[in-house]
Amino acid sequence: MKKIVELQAVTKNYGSRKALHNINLNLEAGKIIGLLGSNGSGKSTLMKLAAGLIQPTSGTIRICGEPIGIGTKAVTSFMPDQPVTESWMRVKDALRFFSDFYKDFDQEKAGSMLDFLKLDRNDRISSLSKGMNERLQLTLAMSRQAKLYLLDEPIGGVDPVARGKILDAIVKFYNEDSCVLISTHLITDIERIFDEVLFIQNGEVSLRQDVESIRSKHGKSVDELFREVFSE
Amino acid sequence: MINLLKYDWKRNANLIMGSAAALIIFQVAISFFGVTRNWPSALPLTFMFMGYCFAALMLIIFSFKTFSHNLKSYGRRLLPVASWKTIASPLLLQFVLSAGLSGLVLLHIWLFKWLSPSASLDALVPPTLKTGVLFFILIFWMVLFLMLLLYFSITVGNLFNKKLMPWVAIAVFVLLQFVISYAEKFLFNDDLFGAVDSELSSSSMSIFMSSTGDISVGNWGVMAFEIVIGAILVNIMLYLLNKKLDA
Amino acid sequence: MPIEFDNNQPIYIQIMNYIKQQIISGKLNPGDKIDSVRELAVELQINPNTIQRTFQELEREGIVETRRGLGRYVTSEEVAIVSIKKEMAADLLGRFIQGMRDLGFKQDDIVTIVSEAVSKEEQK
Repeated sequence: MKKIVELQAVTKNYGSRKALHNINLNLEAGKIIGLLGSNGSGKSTLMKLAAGLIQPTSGTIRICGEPIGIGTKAVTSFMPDQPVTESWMRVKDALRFFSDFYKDFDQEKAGSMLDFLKLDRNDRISSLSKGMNERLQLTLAMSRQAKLYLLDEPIGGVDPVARGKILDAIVKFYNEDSCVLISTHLITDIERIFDEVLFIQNGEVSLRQDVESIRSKHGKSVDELFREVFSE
Repeated sequence: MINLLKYDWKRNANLIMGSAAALIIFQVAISFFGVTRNWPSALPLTFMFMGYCFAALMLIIFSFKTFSHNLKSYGRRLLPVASWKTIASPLLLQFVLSAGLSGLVLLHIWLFKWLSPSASLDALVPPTLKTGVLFFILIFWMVLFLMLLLYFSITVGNLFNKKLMPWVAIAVFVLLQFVISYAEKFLFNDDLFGAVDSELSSSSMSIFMSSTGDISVGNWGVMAFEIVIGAILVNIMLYLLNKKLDA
Repeated sequence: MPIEFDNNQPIYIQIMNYIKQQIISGKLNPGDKIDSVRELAVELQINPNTIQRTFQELEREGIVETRRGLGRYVTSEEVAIVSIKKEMAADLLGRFIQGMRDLGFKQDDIVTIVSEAVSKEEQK
């Protein structure tokens, strides 16, 4: 299968603090992958590296075979843990901003996603609640025809009803030739949309497995396995 | 590039338009009081001049703030846009706005002449076209070079954590000023520009100060030297933006 | 959501059972078109690859057939459907009998209890 993300011996330190240590990882097209770990385990760091927001201390990262740069940013859609919009914008300005810079931004898809998630184009972003803002950020990220989607805690700050909507939106709008990496600590709610999960612990990938084989081999949910692994 | 410029503008449009309105009101008020209260003509001129200098300073601060904001902005750093545009966009916006400000100044001078033909504006008008053009080029370069130094300092500062960032940036800026002015003094024996008492301005300003007559070759050397330094700073910034700087 | 999933069991098996139940209960008839992978994935909030796998397994069991360019259909062969019915009935009975044995009932008792229950149900 086509490799979307390749990490070779990637290490990231923030000053003296080690965020990621010697990560080797390949992610293929056509998969929705869960990135699971406790707070501060390195989930966000991994995503920011792949998105090109931060630079590795050592090691190499390739997206679709290319080193991180303008080319990879054009095919990577990242929903980070803070908004990519600006406070002066209205919802429609944010859509305009994306279509001005991303050639793969699909206005029509964005429009139907806005309707689906009950967002109003004329709303000011500064007046949106946290949950509504997350919906907007997700809309922006998912409305691109990217090769790699990186969603950092897409259901973190929203109520269960909105969670359902967001999961619906991810399944409905994701593009099958792409790879979707989703970080979360709310595993139960979301584990059924994963193909695989990656457990990340203290800056290292401690386990990678197909979710159905976790269920059939261990007779356990991903959530249970996660609790076991992380209680050690 | 124009797209980046558009969003740099939109983010600050309200502030800029508001400031521009305040400036115009201030200038109108000064002129009005100058006429009705029979102030000596030097006084409103001084206020006018100060008002526009303040506005130019605001533009410098605004440009710097826009650049440093963009360095840390996720929305900006994720865009598939060449790094040089990150540097060029706020600079270009600053120069476009400066051109607008210059237009306002010229309009004001013209109005001033028209309203009070007796007032002497000799101090504001360059003696010849040649010195006028030179003055323009030098001011342009001086501001551009200053902006590159400021941008460079904040870029280096951002390699460090939040607490250290401003101190590193200030240290880099002061050190660069010192080293560059010292090198200029050493290389070009530029008397007008003391290494120690140097202000923010670059030494190419000195050409203007001595330029009522001829331009000495040495001063063009200073400018060439600064262009080389500027190019080096830009390249280091691009390297840092592409390879080192975390958003 | 029409199914309550148990995250401890493979999801594709649960969806297979869900579709089989729909066929047996008559909600899906022989020859009916089945929702596309994407539609079902959205409806059930399930990974599309899991749905894909479900369909592959159902095809292997002869319950679902793919018609090129048209989509997937419930098989129109009665035999296959009868065999699902038998299979699911056997499964249900097996679990029931095991449960009764665990409660201590003997074979004859179980037969009596079942026939009494069935006749009561008919009188209602």
